[in-house]
Amino acid sequence: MQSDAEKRSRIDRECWVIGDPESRRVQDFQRSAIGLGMRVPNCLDWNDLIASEGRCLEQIPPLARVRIDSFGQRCETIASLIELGGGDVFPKRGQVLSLDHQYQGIVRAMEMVECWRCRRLESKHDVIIDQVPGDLAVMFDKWATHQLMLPYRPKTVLLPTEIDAAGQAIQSFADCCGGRVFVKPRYASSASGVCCYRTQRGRQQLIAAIEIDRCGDDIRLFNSLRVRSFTNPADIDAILRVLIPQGMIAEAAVSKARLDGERFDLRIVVIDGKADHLVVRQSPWPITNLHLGNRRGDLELLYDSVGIDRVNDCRQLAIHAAAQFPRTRYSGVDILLPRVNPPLVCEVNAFGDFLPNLTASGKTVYASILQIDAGAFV
Amino acid sequence: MKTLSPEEARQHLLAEEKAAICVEGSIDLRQTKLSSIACRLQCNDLDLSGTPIESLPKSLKVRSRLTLDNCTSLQRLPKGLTCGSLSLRGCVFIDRLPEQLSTWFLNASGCPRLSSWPKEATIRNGNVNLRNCVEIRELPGWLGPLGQLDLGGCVNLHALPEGLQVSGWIDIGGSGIQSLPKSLANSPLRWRSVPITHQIAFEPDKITAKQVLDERNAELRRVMIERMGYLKFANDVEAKELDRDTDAGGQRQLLKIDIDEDEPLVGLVCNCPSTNRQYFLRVPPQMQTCHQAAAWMAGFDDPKRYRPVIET
Amino acid sequence: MDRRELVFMDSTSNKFWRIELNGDSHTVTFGRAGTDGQSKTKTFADADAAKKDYDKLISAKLKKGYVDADSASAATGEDADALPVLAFRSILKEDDVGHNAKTFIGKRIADYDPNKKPTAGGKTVYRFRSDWDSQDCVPNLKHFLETDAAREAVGIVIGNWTGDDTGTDPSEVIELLCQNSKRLAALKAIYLGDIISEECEMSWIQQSDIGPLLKAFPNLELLRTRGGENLKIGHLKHDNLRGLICESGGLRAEVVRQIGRSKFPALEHLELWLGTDEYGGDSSVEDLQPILSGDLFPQLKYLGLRNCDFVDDIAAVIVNSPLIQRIETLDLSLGVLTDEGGRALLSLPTDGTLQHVNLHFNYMTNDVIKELKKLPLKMDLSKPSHMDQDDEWRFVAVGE
Repeated sequence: MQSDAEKRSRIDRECWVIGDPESRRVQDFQRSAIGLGMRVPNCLDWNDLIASEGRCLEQIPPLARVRIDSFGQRCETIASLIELGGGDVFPKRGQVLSLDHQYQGIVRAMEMVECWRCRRLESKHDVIIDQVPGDLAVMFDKWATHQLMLPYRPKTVLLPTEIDAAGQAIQSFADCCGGRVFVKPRYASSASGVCCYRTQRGRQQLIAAIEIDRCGDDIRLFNSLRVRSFTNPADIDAILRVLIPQGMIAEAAVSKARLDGERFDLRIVVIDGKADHLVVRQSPWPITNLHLGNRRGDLELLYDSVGIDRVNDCRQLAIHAAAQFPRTRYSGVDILLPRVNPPLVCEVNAFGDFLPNLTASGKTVYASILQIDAGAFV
Repeated sequence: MKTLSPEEARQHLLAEEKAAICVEGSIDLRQTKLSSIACRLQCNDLDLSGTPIESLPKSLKVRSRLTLDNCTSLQRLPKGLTCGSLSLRGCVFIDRLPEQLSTWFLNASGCPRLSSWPKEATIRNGNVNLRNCVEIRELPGWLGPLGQLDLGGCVNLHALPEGLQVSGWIDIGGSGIQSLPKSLANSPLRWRSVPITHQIAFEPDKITAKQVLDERNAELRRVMIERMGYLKFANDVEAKELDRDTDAGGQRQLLKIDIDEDEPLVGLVCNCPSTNRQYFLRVPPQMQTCHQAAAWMAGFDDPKRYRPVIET
Repeated sequence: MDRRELVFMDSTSNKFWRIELNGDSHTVTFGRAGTDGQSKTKTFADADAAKKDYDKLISAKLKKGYVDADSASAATGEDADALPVLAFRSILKEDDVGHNAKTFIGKRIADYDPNKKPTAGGKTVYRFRSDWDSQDCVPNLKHFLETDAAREAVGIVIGNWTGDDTGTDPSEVIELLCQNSKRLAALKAIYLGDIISEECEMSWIQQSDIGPLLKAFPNLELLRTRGGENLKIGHLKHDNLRGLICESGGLRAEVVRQIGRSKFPALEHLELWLGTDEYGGDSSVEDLQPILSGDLFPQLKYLGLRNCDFVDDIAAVIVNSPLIQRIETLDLSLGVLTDEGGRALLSLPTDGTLQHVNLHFNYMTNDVIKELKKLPLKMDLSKPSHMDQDDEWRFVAVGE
């Protein structure tokens, strides 16, 4: 039986975030802690983590709580991840390039954190990490996640990394999925490189938040805040030529339910097995990420139009999905709600908890994370 | 008056029936053998492009578009012709427009004989295109106000009437116009479809080589070079000499000027033996020697076959 | 006490905005039409400051396209049932092209659900559409036509009729509507083609002859269509049609010419999205001559020649036209309007009936925009944030 004092000390334990100290994510997290009367979490910069090959983790004192947050969008961080992953081509800001090497870099960095944690465990100077580093590595691999989430996933295939073979694979997959598929980078987060592809009567359409930058024969892709529809076969070919070698999956498109005339899906943050925080992501486009100018839908309207039971089914599925990573205490699960069939898992996002101003029973996501039952640790 | 469908009217006209007809719609008689309209006809649009038609009856009523492009036998249009737009592109035989013509749009581009204007007519609100009407020497005072006015290649047109109003652009590329009346002082200008400034149009001497090289738009850059003169431009930018030789006219030089984001400008500078003036003649950028360039200009791809006695 | 009430309508909303000036404070009330809305009162240092802010807020709203609630375009005519001209507004901003309509003729749109009883009194406009994996459009419409709500329906919206099979035209839907014209006794407005890019690219939409609708519904006031391919107006006479809107990525010259010889004496709102020749829009400014001559539509108040890649040519001709002396709103938005066209518009008449000029989404430079702002007309000169000023390749807002 723990005494109150012991519990208290655990709530008061030092908290560290591995993240981008300049980012709104880390700053909001720190502010939330202050708002709750907790100590300000320290930030350990991903740049330092990579540069020191994990040695800088030693500054984290015993018993500290560690949260792994996003490495952010800084070019130098991305470049050092790619380098760590054995790559030597580095993207400009916002460019979609070397996702495979970047992923290898993330895996290497997660290994550093995991090694450090094991060493600490042996030396009895143990720390508490909110997420299992290996779980995050799985979440960043959409193909691995897909297999873990079966049977609650749309039909999906892994595409070859050779362009002609991939082109044929997409075509035949599209043919057996009613003409519409998502082509998604195997290793990426948010909407980066996600394409909705359809073919009908010899016409092609590719919808993506992508901008093509042509300089002679050199074609570069950039993430854009604007979802766009491409129908020129040359543009579509150019996009796929850049993406395919970086590793892609093709996923059958699901005919999503509509809310107020628009399609939507759900982002549900599961924290310690509770799926309280739910956002309706509503968009006229098939790509619903909120940073693309799409809007948060109305929760009341959601209950009214699809019914409380179906929403609860979604929450249960999100909990089930998060439970596939039992020692990772929270993640952001994207749930697809088809018009007629039961819900499906779209993605499990390692860093899918940045939803400012979203509250459930008066608590923001970060407040809930910060107040995870201390007694449940260790 | 019988009302026919456009297709029925087409057959009616081709069969040279005499009965008067009225048509709601467009009659398409392009590239047919129709040489005259035998009946009274009312319609919205009539297209006779490429036909051997020689004249149109006075009774013809086209409410909207009358298209007579490349009607090379067409000599006269009826007095009082009224329509929404009149297109006479490539009507090489036409030398005048009819008295009391009334239209919004007139396209007479490529009418090389067109030279005289009616005393009284209405062409207003729309656009007038006189591209390459080399015999046009003046514009009538009753013209306008207009939308756009294309005078490209009107080499014998030197001035525009005072008070002429044009709300859009005026294209003066290669025309004889060297200044504009006050009423057009602020009009946007074009030079063979390329938008240009008044300086490029009327003060070509003030264009500097630096101005040309700083210009990012390749089409505009070419117009600027054309306006300031290739020779002056080549001198100002200190063009690279690729080759030099001597022919009947004297010394020749092949010069090359590199231009950012565009193919290099290569040209042969030579003296014309008859006028003793120096010329810069643009040639394809792959030319290496003066002889090769001169051969290309004479139409020989293989310079070995080009052996002129005297180059003129 | 000064008071002003403004209203706004477009594809997404129907709302009001009211301001009351009371000494050193003013109260703004706003909300969806038909609701009480919400109020905010603001107090100033003195009455002058309050009046200044009052005027500023009103002028900002008018710039955004609000109009006075009792103005000609917002009020219904002598016939109390007639739709106000304001209700003919389609989408206003480029951003809205990607969204399905949320309102139509000022009424809320709902997708028709055969399992729910439709609302009575014609308060809701129902949309009938197929999803990419279902073919609900025609069956749902048939279901609706059997209900009592069909007799009261003032407006109908037909969405994607083809599912993902982009080769089908709406002739079946048109036929169904025409056969049931007696049942649809109250119908005044039809939107045929509320279809967004995600459902089917605008240039892929197969339209058909909409003439039968004009023939079967003599009381129709608004006909709005989207999609240019195979669009035809096979019946060119209608005594009561007040609004005609043809949205497209490319409108064929023949359609423009058909409209140029039509007999729609009551037409007040004519909106043509002329598009580019890349998508079949092969018309030119000459084809617009019968419309611009001013004789064709004596009642015309709004002329929209939108999404047009030769809008510079139109600008040069329209400023001289008799029509411009008679209309209230000129809309040349969503096209490739450059400085050449913008300079031509500097000679728009400012002493006639013309009040509003919509040039949203344009390629003009700041110099010309500044000149245009000096004209005593209410002008929308806005650009969406993504428009690159140095863009050498210029596009209309909706190509596809």
